[in-house]
Amino acid sequence: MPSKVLGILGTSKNTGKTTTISALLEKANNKNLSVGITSIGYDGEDIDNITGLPKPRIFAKKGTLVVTAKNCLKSGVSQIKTLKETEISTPLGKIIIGEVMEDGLVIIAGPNKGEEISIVIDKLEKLGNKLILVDGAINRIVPLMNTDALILTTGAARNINIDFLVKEIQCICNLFGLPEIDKKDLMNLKSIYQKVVTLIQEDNSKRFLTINSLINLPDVLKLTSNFDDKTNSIFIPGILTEFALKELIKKSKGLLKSKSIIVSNPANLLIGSNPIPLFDILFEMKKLEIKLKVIKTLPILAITINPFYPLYRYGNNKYESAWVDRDKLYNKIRSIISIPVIDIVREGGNNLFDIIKKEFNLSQK
Amino acid sequence: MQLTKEKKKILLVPLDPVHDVALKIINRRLKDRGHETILMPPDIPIEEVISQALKVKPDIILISRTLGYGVAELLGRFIDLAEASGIRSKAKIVIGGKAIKPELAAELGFDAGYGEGADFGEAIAFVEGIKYIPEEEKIIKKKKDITAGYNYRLHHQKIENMLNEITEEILDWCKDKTSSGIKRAHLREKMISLKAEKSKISHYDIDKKITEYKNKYLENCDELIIKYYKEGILPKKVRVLGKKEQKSLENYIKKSKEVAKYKKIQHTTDKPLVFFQYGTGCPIMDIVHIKTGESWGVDGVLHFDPSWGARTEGFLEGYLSHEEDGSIITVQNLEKIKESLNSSTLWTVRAHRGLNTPETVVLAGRLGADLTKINIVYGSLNAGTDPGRLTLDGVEAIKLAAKYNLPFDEPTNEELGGVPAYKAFAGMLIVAKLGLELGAKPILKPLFCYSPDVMIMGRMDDNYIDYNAAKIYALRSIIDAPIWPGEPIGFMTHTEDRIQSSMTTALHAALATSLGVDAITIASSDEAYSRGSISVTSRIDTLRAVQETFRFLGKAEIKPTHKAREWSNELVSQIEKVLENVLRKGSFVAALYDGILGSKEDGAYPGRAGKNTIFSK
Repeated sequence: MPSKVLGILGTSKNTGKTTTISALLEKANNKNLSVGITSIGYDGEDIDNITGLPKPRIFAKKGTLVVTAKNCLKSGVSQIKTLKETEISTPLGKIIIGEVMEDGLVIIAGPNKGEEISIVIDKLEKLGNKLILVDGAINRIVPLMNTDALILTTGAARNINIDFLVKEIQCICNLFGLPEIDKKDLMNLKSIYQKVVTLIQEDNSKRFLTINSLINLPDVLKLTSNFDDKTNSIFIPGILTEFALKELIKKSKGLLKSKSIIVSNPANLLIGSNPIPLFDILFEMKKLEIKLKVIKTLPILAITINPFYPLYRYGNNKYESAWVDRDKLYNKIRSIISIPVIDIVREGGNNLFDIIKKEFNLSQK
Repeated sequence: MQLTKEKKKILLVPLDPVHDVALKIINRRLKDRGHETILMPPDIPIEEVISQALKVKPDIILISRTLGYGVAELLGRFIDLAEASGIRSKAKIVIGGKAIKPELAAELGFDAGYGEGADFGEAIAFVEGIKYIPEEEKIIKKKKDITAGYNYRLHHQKIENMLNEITEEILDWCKDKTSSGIKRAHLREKMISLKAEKSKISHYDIDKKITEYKNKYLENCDELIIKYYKEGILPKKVRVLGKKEQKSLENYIKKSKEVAKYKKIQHTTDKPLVFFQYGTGCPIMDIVHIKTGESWGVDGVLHFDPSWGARTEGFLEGYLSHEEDGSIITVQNLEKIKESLNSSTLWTVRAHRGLNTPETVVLAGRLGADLTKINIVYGSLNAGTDPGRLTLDGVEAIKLAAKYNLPFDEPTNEELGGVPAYKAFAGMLIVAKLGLELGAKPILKPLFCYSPDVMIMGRMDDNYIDYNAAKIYALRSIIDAPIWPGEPIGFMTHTEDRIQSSMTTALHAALATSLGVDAITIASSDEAYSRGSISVTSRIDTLRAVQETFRFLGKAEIKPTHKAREWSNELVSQIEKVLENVLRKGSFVAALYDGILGSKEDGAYPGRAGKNTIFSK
């Protein structure tokens, strides 16, 4: 059975990505599951690179596989034996795959591009790994689209306004819940070798633009000048920004009704948008009966929340630790979102791990 | 500049509203190196940057951004956008800005990151895909020969003729004479040679020989020294370093060598080399000063011994610490200091002025010093040694300096006592000529100072430049020889104020650079008036100040007024007159006694140490 890859996606720094991954790692270790861990950022350091506040560390048990940059090997406490060296470069040296030889703290800075993540997942699989945990970085999403499922972490570090957080999570969940296109249409799109914005007409003929993303007004105008009432769907392989989407709807003057806009994945829409206005646009699109589809999406298995946030003090130019109301945060998100919500610090990793086990159909060694 | 690697297309993005200077510098450098660059205006939304990157298809994107609240998220989103739009797979993306470290660059998902203190060369090397070698690793400091390139020819016929006559008279005078200092020097040579011959001669024979030499050595020493060897009584304020102290010193030397980084203090000129003098009394503290100095770029150091060492016949032995100024010369102390030095650091052990002058040169030569210091005139007139004895010992010391290939510098610090520069220079030239006659390499050491004579004559009422420049011009018009103003430069312009002291040292260093001299000795900022131990921070003060001065001046020059040339001509004719007077006297030693090279009225007093200690051979 191929290994399962779980990505930890955060809405910002300090939302609890590392705490979540540590909790999962502990459970996986306890259940004697062969587990591998990597990160698209830099994890396990004791002090935050930006706020200077203490950070959760990552404790790995003997036998855990780690994918990290060479320069991190000397910073951790545990003994790591290098199993494989890769050609992937990072600011901290080449990426290696290693095995933890002795329980201890590790520093993880893995590959940070989607294609590189795929390379190391492949290598870990070959080493017999069952579960691979990919920690996110800051608010980055794109490389995590190469995993099998996601856990979303959010919290006061993203915004101390709980209503904002709820709305943002709703928006993200909506995006990840967008329908994938039919197999037939997928085959049709796969025959498109040019990775450019493509208009698919009723007669299945295609019109290609020279751009791959819709970012600003000129991009939208390039599209609308090629768009007519025979256009069935629009495929955007690159980025679709909230601004461009809004302009596209405006400029298409009703022509988009019951037509489809297809993006590669939810991330390509999310990264060029502010989630709150995007949420409103999605709502409006529904009203206008404009279909929004993705080629591929991922299930969000659970949401973990973190009431902590770094409070910036202008007086002394320093950050200090602060918290929003833990119960209020938990209850409000829970009341609106249908996905399981977990306060990881309070509850620990048990429930979360069960969810993952079930989803991935994991069995013990 | 020739482009060694393939031409790259680089998009430079100042994401900040301000702080784009570094990016503009890199832009200019990349352009100079033949790359195609596109510099975006500051403070553009990241979506627009992506749009631009999609259009121009760069090989590299360089972003500059100061970190702040929410900036990590902004940069994270930028990388996501770059990846989703396909830019990432074609272009490397680099972040630069204050507080950026490689760890943070990794966290943000960039391919490289450069923060404060990073070198522009590092980013450029990344762009060109070549290995970056840090500037400090590129600095391969090599020992320099200060005397290289000089032919020692005299340009002034009359002065040359007079110097010939005077030196001939001196050498003739010394011919049939010797002293206990000379005897000790030769015994010391024999003792050191014996140790080197351990493989050839049996232990027993060596011990026997050493005892024999040592007894002979002690026959030529003062009571103070004999007491130590025979009864173990050390002079006051002297103690032996404990085993623990020695051990921790070993560790210190080892560790400081491991972490040593080279630093170049000069900017775009090779000269002047920068020296400082050490002599805290304690060899451990000396070594700490030396190692600190080296890491701040000092090129060479001078060993200063206690003043009583010059008045005492013979040397002590062992690892000795002295509670007052001046570090005691013993074989062990010198060996330890030598061991601590970087291979590029020039080391001078001064011998110039006392009853141990020839023996000091033997130790300097045998223990690996690069230079020594000898000036018979200064040693006789302002350092307390009998003129006759020092003439005899000085000639021997110069012969030994030639034998051990040690160039020797000639300080003219009698000027500080009140002797006018031209008299000090006449004396210095006589000793220099002696050096040349005996096959050694002298280095001229005029003072850059605000001396009593200068004050009285009003030579520096307007500026410190003209008269110091005049000295260099004058010496250069007489002889082609290396010049090393000292000791230290700016003497008597310093006060207790560390900033003021650093400043005057730095300004005198600027003048030295402008005049193209070979080396300078600098004071610490607390040296002139410290009357006690010199702090290592004060050493750094002046090293940093001088480095900044070199950076400021580069290859530019300081322009003296017409006075400098006038005073230079005056100095040359004054030197001529002094030499005429020495000749008229008929004896160099008598000239010293009679004040021709510096009189009591000037502030020079013939020394008494070693009076009547000259023997016939």
